[in-house]
Amino acid sequence: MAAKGARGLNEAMKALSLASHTCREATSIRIPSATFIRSMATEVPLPTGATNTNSSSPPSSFWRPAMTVPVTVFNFPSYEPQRLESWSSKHLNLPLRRDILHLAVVYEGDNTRQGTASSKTRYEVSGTHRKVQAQKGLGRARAGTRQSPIRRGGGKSFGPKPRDFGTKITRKVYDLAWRTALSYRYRRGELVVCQDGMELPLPPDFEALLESRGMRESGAEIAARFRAKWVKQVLDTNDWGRKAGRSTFITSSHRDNLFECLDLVPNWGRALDVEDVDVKDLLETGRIVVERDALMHMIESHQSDLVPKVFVPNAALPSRQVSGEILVE
Amino acid sequence: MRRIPRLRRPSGLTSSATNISRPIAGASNITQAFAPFSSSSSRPAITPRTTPSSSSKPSHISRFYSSQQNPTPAQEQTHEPGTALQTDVQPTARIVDEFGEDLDLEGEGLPVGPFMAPRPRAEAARREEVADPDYEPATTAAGLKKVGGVADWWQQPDNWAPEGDFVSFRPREKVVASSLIDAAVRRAVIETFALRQIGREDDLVGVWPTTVSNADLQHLLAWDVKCAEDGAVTLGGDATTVADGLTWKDDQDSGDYAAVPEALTADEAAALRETWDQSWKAISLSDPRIRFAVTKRVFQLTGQLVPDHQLSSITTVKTLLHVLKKPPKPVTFTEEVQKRHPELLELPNVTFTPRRVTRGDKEIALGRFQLMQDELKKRGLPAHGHGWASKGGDLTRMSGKM
Amino acid sequence: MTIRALEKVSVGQNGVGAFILQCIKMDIHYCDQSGSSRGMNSFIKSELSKFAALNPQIEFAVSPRPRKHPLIIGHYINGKQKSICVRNMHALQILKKVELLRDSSGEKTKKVNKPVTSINESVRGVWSPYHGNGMPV
Repeated sequence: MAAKGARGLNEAMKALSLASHTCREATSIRIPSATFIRSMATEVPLPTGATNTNSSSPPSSFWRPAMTVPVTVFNFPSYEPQRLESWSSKHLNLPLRRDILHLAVVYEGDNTRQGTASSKTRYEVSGTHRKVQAQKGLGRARAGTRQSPIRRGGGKSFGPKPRDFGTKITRKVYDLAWRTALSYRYRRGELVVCQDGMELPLPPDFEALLESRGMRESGAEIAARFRAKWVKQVLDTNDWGRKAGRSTFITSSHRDNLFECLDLVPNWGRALDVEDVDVKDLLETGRIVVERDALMHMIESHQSDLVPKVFVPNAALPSRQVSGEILVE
Repeated sequence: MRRIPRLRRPSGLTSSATNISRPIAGASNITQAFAPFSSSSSRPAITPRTTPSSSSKPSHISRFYSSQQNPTPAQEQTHEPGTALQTDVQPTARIVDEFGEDLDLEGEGLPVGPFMAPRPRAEAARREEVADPDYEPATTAAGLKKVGGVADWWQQPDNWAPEGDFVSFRPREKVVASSLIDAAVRRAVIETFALRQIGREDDLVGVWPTTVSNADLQHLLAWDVKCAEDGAVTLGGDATTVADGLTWKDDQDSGDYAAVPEALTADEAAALRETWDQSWKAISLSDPRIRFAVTKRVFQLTGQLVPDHQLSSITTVKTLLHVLKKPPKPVTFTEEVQKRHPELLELPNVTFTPRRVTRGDKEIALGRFQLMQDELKKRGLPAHGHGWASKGGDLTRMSGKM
Repeated sequence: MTIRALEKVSVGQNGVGAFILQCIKMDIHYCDQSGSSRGMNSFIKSELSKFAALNPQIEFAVSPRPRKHPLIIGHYINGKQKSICVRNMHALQILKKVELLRDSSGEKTKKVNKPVTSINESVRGVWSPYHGNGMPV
C-alpha cells in the first residue's frame, strides 16, 4: 500500500513537472504509459494514443507547450518578410523571469564600473610631518601634522581607492538571462530578425553626388547631413525611428554604412556589433533589429544550461535544441 | 543563409525610381546616371539637360529651370554691387580658364538623380576685369545680401525630390480602419488561393505588385468567395486573371510617377463588406505557405504586421482579422471613460471634467469671477494673465536669453 | 458647591433621530500619463461607479491634474477638507481611503487618551466657588 501511494505521488509529481516545466528537457519526462497497471475496480480504459510520447500528437489529458516558435526573417532595409523559420522554444520562448534579468543587469553594471576613483590618505599626502604648533600655551587646539584628515589640505580618512567592483554570477543563470531577454522581446513582437549581410544601402545616386564639385567644395558636413536624412527616412518609413521609441541594430560584424549613419542620428537608434551586446542592451529601446547570424551567435554562446558538458553516448536522448529550420521560403 | 540579398522586383508602388531593390542594385545605376556627365565635358556652357533617369519626369526639368532663374547666392554677390547687366558668361568662362578644359562643368550644380548637389563656388569678377566703368565693388558687408551655409540643404524640397525617398515594403501609413483591413485580408486571401489554384507555388512567397485600379479591385473584392464544410475554397471568379495581375510586367515599371491608382476608401470597403458571404471567414490558413503569403500581403497592403508569436494561433481568416483589428488606444483617460464606462457618466452625483480644474474655474463656479473682473477693471489691471509680466521671465533671464 | 443646568430631555446627536453624512463632496484627481496614477485610473473605471451609486449624498468631482500624483480631497459640512495622496496605490487600497474619507467627521484628528468618552453630564456637576456657602479661610 505504501509503495502504491509513493508511486501515485511520483506520478502526480511527474505530471506536475510536465505542466510547468520550463527549462528542462521536455522529452526526457516520462509520461505514464499503458504498461502501468491500475488496480482500481472502476478502471477506465486508457486511450490507445496515450503511449505516444511524440510531441506531434500529445496525449489529450496533458497540455504541452509548443516546442518551436515561428520567426520571420526580413530583408533589411525593405522590411520584406522573406522566410519563416522555426526556433526552439528554449531559445526564444522562455517565460519572463524579472529576477534573473535583474541579476544579469546588475552583474553587467558591476563589471562595467571603472573603479579608478582614488584619493590620498594622510600617509600619502606630501609634506613634512613636523608638529604644526606647540602642544601647549597657544590657546589653540592641539594639532599634530598638517596631513591630519581634520585639517584643510589633509588626507582623506576613508577615501576611494582603485578597486574592482566586479561581481560573479552563475554562468547558467547568466545564459538563461540572455535567452529570457530575447524571449521577452520576441513575445512582445519587438524582435525583428533580418537576413544575413545586414547593411544600410545608400541611394545609388549618392556616389555620383559625392563626385560632383559642389559637394566636394561644401565639405564633409553636407554628405553627413545627407546620410542622416537618409537613415532617418529609412527608420521612419519602417516605423523603427524616434517616434517608435528608437531601435537597436545588432550585426555580426561592423558594418560601415549602418554604424556611421546611425552615429549621426542617436535619437533614432544605435548599432552594435554582436560582441558588444549585453543583456541590458537587449532590454533597452523600442525594438531589437538583429541579423540572423548575430541572433544565432548570441543564442549558441549562451546556452550552457541546455547543453550538457558530459558526452552522452545514448543517441535516443535528445542532444540539443535546434533552431533555424526553414518552414517557408 | 545567403549573404547577398536576392534581387527582388520592386514593391511596385509607382515607378522604377522608387523600387525597393534599387538601393541594393546600386552599382549599375551609378554608371548609368554618371555616364552622360563625363562624356559631355567639352560643352562650354551650361545647357539644360536631363539625366536618363529623369527623362520621363518633367518635374526635374522645371526644377532645373527654376534654379536657373534664381541665381545662387554666389552669383548674386557678383551682380549686386555693380550693375545688373553682368552676364553669366564671365564667371563661368573664368572658371573654365582656371581649371582647364577637361573640367567636368556639365554635371556641376545639376541634379544627380533625384538629388541636387550644391553649386560649385563662383568667384566674383575683379574690378579690372569688368568692362563697365561704373562698377564699384563693395568694401563692407553693409547692404549685401546675407547668404547661409548648406546646413539645411537637404531639407529644401528642390534639392531632394520625392523620387529619392526611401521606399519600403511596408506602406508609409498604417491602415487602421476596420473595413479597409477586411478588404486587404480578403484581397490577400483571393490572390493567394488563386495562385495556389493555378499551381504557382513558388510565387506564394514572392513580392506582388500592388497596382490595381479601383474598379478592378472592387470587382475582385465582390467575388463570391465561399468556404465549404470540408474546407474547400471556391473563389467565384477567374483565378488566372488574378494570378496574371500578380506577375511583374516590364511596362508597369515605366509608368508615370503620378499614375497612382486611387485607393479604396473606407466607405467603399464597408459597402462591399455587406455583400460578402460570411463563410469566407472560416477559410483555413493552417497551411504555413498560405498563411505566410496572406500575412505578407496584408503587411504590404496595410502595414499591419502579425507578430511572430501570434502566427501559430492563426488558423482561419477569422482569427487573423481578430489579431489585426486591435482597437486603437484612447488618447486620454476621460475619452476612454466616456467610451467604455458610460454608466459612470449617468450617475447624478459624479461629474467629469476633461481639463484641469483651475483656480479660475472654481471662482466661476462660485459666481465670484465676474466681481473680480469688475474690480480689476476698476483698478486698470488685466483681467486675465499677468499683463506685462511674461510667464517664466525669470527663467529666460537666468538662461541668458534676455 | 456645584452648579446644575436645566435638565435636558434629549441630547442632539448625529445618528440618533437622523443621520447626516458629514462628507459632502470628494474631489478625485488623476493623471493620464504618470505611473503613480495607474491604480487611481483603474479605481475610477472599476470601483467608482459602484461606490458613487451607494453614496448618493456625496458629490464626486473627477478631474485630471497632469504631472501630479493622484489625490482625493474630501469636503465636510464643517467647512474643513481632508486630502489623501494615493500615489502608487492599487484600486482596492484607494477604495479603503475613499471609505475612510467618507466615514470621517471632518474634525481634526484628536488624541484619545481617556478610556471612556461620554457626552452625558457629570453626575457630580461642575464645582463653582461662587455658589453655595463660602468657606471661611
